[in-house]
Formats: sequence, structure tokens, C-alpha cells
Amino acid sequence: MMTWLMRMILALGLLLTPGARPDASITVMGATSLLSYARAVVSGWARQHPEIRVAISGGGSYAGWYGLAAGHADIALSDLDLGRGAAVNERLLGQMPILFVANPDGGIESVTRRDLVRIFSGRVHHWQALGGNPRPIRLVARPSGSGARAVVSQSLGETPQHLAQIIQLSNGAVVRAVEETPGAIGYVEGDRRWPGVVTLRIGGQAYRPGSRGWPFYAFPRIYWRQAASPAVFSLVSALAQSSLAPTFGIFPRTGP
Amino acid sequence: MKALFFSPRTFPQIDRMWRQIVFAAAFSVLALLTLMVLVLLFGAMSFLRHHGVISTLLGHEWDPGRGQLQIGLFVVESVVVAGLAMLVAVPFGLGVAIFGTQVAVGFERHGLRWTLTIASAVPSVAYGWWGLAVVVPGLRGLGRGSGYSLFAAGLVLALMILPTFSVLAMEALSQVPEDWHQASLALGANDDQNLVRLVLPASLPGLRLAFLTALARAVGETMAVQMVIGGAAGRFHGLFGPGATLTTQILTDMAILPNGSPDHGVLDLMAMVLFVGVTAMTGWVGYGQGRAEK
Amino acid sequence: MSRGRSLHQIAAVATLVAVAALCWVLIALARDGLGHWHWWLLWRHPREIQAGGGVGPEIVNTMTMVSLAECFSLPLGWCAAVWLSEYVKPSAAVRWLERLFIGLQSIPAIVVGLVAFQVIIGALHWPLSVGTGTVALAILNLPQVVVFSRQAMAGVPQSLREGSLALGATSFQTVWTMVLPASLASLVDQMGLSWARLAGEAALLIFTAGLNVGPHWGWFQPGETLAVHLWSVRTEGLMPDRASLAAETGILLIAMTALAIVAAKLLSNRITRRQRGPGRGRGGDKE
Repeated sequence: MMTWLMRMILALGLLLTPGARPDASITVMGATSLLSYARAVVSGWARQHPEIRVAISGGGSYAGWYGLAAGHADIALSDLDLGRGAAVNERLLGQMPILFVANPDGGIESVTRRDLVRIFSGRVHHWQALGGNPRPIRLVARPSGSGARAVVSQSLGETPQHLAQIIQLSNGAVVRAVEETPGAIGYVEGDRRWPGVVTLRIGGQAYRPGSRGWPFYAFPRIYWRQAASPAVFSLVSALAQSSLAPTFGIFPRTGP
Repeated sequence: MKALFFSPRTFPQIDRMWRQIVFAAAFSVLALLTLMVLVLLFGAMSFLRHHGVISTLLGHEWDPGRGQLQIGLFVVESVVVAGLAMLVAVPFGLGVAIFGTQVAVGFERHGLRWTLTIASAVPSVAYGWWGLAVVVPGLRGLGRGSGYSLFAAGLVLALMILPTFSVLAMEALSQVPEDWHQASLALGANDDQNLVRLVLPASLPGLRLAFLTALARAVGETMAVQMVIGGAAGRFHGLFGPGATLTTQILTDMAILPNGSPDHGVLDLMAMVLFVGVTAMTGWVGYGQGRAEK
Repeated sequence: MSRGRSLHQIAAVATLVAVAALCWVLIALARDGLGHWHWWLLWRHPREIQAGGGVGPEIVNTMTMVSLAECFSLPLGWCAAVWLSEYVKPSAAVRWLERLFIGLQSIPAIVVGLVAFQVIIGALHWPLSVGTGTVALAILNLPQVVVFSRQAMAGVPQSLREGSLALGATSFQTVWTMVLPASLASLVDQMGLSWARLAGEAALLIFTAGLNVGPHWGWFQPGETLAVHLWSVRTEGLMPDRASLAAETGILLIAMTALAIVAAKLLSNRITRRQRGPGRGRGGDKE
């Protein structure tokens, strides 16, 4: 019995080990908000490099970063500045605007930065206080670990944990929640026209690509190991230089 | 083939080989699942080595960015949501099973079976969409805050586990032999007495399994709950306020505590709490008791 | 007749409510998806920014990955259940082992996915692929298979086994000629349910199979399934027709799982009927 068992374990082991990872395989991993962009670029790039398999996985900016460190991923996508590790290269993709969206029911189309601070710190609870309809304000936020939340809390101050905010895991989910909840306000990455919600002007200014004064930008980046294969370098430059970027809300960096 | 399998000469060899195959399969299943549990346990233990056990399990402060990692509130909200789901689903499911096995005949019975079968095929996310489209606006219409709430999550879960529970309960009830019914009725029992005194007690083991399977499903469900629960952590906002369960918080904070990050172990700990909780529940309900006599 | 049936009447009302609620879900989904149905969805490749992408490769991936995962987990889990129910004497340890399997079902799929990620991709260096996803799905499925196989075998009367053994049959023959046929119908039925459950799984596959598809199917090609595609279209999709695409993909997924369950159910009914032929009736089963 025991010998039989040993033989089986050996056979299983042999079956599983020949997978020193094939060179012809690249894993891209990271921020959810950059996944559509990565999918679009990769599908074009893979057509020119049919011998290489590229797989894309999500999990968030940190997951990509740790995956890169552990060798599970070859390219990490991030909308946070995660700092530069010893043997890791970094490249900025550009800037991605963060827009504030509100349910039309609140009756407000323009806010000041101070209003936003008061809303997100829980100091005002009604749109009426800002000149809108008599409706309670409902916060829709992304979880900690999202790049958009990091940018917003950096420039508006941390949103207190005890507020009854609605947490949604992606831009699409935030917009959906804002659209359907009267009095809701939330923030999303990317330059998109969302039907069903009001995209708020900030200090009277509406976002336009390239506008210098817009206060909320995320800066998406890609990271890869210095000791990477030429194929990885090729894919990195495809990601960094793709003409598709503006379609996905990623624009050349304007400010400092 | 038949000759090989059933010739007297090969009996002992085949029987021995078969025994080995079965044992090897059982061993590898156990090994695989033990490996999985060990990976989780290892993560959980390494987390607990740096954080207090009591404060982690009973506290409510949660802010992974600042290193505040206490899961007590999520445990409570998991129990609330799963409890609410079971509270709604079990009576209705029992009703369905009783109707389906004791009352309905012909068309009704077939229609019911097929509806339940199709409904149990619907992926759990689809119940989440339904929750977003119906339950959340409904609760909001009743003036219960934004509608994203523990209550909404409980209702969505209840509907999600209802088909599974009903099908299993129906199977349990239909295992009661027909001649027992006849005997009971012959002794003058009416239909209700027959049901309460005979059918339900006789099918108790099957009902226990149905209950536990539904419970495990309700406790472990992630995506559908995450869509409607609102995800607020750190403080209890009431049954009609937003909250987070162990599973939804694992999903949410996977982004900031991924594999390889120092505090990732807390997510393993949360998974272990779920697993240990449900396993203890199976013991408490008494699943598997009294099988030896059968 | 009306006396002594009040509990049954309550049950009937409860059934009505439950069925109405479930039909509500089903009809809402069907209306959403069939409103703008396009047949080309079934064979086209997905597109990112233009409208008109399909889910052809995703359908192939869903079918193959889920079926292969069943092929791994069913025999393995079934054999483990045979061991538990035929070879081990019932004891407290065995009872707790069975309870453990039920408890294992409550570990969220995403956690199973992460462990699979850690072990298969981290330690064995497989790429994020169809293969990794299949293995992860198989592991997710195992506890469930063991529990339902065990349950199906517990439903086989002990007297059948004793009779078989008394006639001089070996335990191998008893299992294959008595226990398996008697529990087959229930096994097939449950197989359909577990197929459906795996096909609807998304969280686990995001980490193990990836979010895109390769140029062709392969064991180590990235393997997005329908459920994962649905998740990504609904969360970050940019194509102009994303709303209808999500609805269509959803109804397609449900149609596939329903088909699997219905097929399994029909097959299991057929088995039951055939076994109830002359002389082989299963006493006590009142269908």
C-alpha cells in the first residue's frame, strides 16, 4: 500500500513540475481602472507577437506590485505611486482625471473645493446646505487601496471611517450606485461622459483634456523588473506609447 | 472486459487494486484540502503572532491603511446577514418542500421542480443584480436610508439559497417510505399530524444536510452580497445601514492587502473564522449523528 | 378533508410566494437579455472600444474549463466518498471529517483562488491560464462532490450491501454493481448543479485564469470565461454597447447553466425509470 502511494505521489509530482514557467508567457497584473486599456493594447500587440502568451489579471495596484516582487507577474499596472524598488523599472503612462459625479436629484451642478472637503469629511449632511435640494448627502467611495481614493483623500483629507459611506469596487459600480441613489456623490477615474449622473464642475470649471487647473489627477504607472525578457520590454513600450491611451482617459502629463 | 472483471481468478487482485485506488483518491483529496487549510492557517497564525488574539477577534476598528485590523464587527455582521437569510429561506423552503412532496401532483409538481431547478442554475451574481434593481430601491422607497444595507444583503441571500434548500429538503422528504404514510393514516392520523409526527422527524437527517448546505452557501457567498451591502466598515450602522461581512471585506481589501503584503494574514484569518464557524455549526446541529444505527 | 390540513395550506401559500419571487428574478433577467439579442455574439471575438464584440472564445473556455474541472474532481471526490462510506467504520473521527467537508464549502471562492494562486502560480510556476483556472475550479468543487456523493451513497439501503456481500461478492463488485447503480441518478443530478455553480464563478478565475483570451485555445493560454467577461464588462467596460452586451452575456450564461442542469435532470430521470424496470424496483422511492 505504502509503495503504491509513494509511486502515485511521485507521478503527481512529475506531472506538476515541468512547469518552470515557459519563457513565452507574460503576466500583466494590477489596477482595475487600467485593465480595459491593457486589454486593448495587449490584443493589438499579441497579434504582432503570436509566439508569446500574454495573460491579464486584476486585483488592484498593490496586488500587481507584490506580484511583481514575488515573480508572479511581469508587468504591474498601478494608479498609485508605489515608489521604486531596487530592481524595478518605472514608467509614467500619463495622467488620468478624477471626476466627481452626483445624482441629479441633489440639484447641484457646481461645487467648490471647500464644499468637497466639507462633504467628504462628513461636516455637511444635506445638499440644502450647499444650495441644492433638501436631500441627505450619501457618499459613494472606493475602498482603501484604490488609486482614486488615495488621490481624493490626499487632497481633501481622509474620509473618516465611521461615516456610513457606500463602498463600491470599481468605477463602473460607483457610477451605477450614484445614478440610482438619490442624493449620492462619488468619484471616478477617466474622461468619460456618464449618462444618468451629473459630472460636477469644480470651482466653476468643467474638466477638459489638457486643462491645467484641474485639481484631481491620478498618475497611472507601469512597473517591470530590470532583468526582464526583451518581450516584456517590447510590451512595456507598447503600453507606454499606445495611441489608444486618450480613448481610455489617459492623457500626456501637463502639470509638474 | 466482463470476463476480466468477473472471473473468479482475478477477484482478489481487482479487489485489492480497487481498495488501493479508493484509498489513494481519498488520501489525495484530504491532502489537497488539508494543504489549502494549512496555507490559510499558516497565514492566520503568522498574523496573530503580531496582533492580539482577543482584540483582533472582538474589536471593531478597521483601517488597513493605518494598520487597524480587527474583525469582530465583520463576524457579527456575517452572522446577522446569514441568520436573516436562513430565517427567511428556511420556512419558505420547508413550505415548498412540503407542498412539492405531500400536496402537489402531476403538473404542479413538475412545474415546481423545473422552476426550482432552473432557479438553482442562475449564477449568484444574477441574484445580486436583482437585488440592485429591486431590493435596494425598494428599501430606499420605504425610507430606510440609501437601501444598501445588511437587510438587503440578507434578502438577496435568502432568495439565492431558497432553490438549493428547497431541492435538498424535497429530496429528504421524499425518502420517507410510502407504506409508513399508509400505516400512519390507517391509525387515524390526519394529514397534519402525519406531517409533524412522521414525515418531518423521519426526514430529519436530510433536512439537517439541506440546512447546513444552505448555510455554508449563504456564509460563503461574496459577489452577490458585495453588490448590495454597501461595504461600510469600522462601525455598526444598524440593520438598515451599510455594512460588510467577512467575505465582502476579504474581496474589498484584497486590493490593499494582496498576497505578499505584511498584513495579508488577516484575510486568511477571516477565511479560517468562516470555515471553523460553519464546521462547528455542523457539529452543533448534529449532522451525521445517528447514522450508525441505520 | 379541510380539517387537519391547515399546515399543508400554509405550505402551499409559502410555495406560491417563493415561486413568484424566483420567477420574478428569472423573468427580469430574460427580458433584459432577450431585448437586444444578436446571434453573432456566439462566435465573434471580444472588442474593447468598438461596439459589436462577441464572446466566442469565452464560451469555449467556459465549456472546456468547467467540464475538465468536473472530470478531475468528480472521480476523485466520488472515490473519496466511497472510502468514507464503504471502507471506514463509522466513528466520531469520520463524522467530524464529513462535517469538515461541509465547512469547507463555506470558504469563499476568492480565498480558494488566492491559495491556488499562491501554490500553482507561485510555487509551481504555471502561468495565469486555462490550466491553472481549471485546477482551481476542481479544488473548489471537491468538498461539494464529496458531500453529495456521500449523501447519495447513504441513501442506498444497507440491506443491499449486506445481501451482496453475503452472496460472496467482493467489495469491488458490491460498489460497482449495487451501490453505484443505486446512487447514480442522484449523482448525475448533483453533477448538473455543480457544473452550473462552477460556470457562474468569477472571483476565483480573475486570479487564476486571467481577464483576456489568447488567439486560440490552449492549456497555457489565458482563459477568460463568460462569468469573468461579464464582471469586467459591467465594472470597467468601455464599449458603447456595454449595457446590452452585459445583459446578453448574462442570459447566455444562464441559458448554458440551465441547459446543463436540465440535461443532467433528464438523464437522471431516465436512469431512475430504467432502474424501475421489472424486478429492479427501489422500494420506498415514491416518485
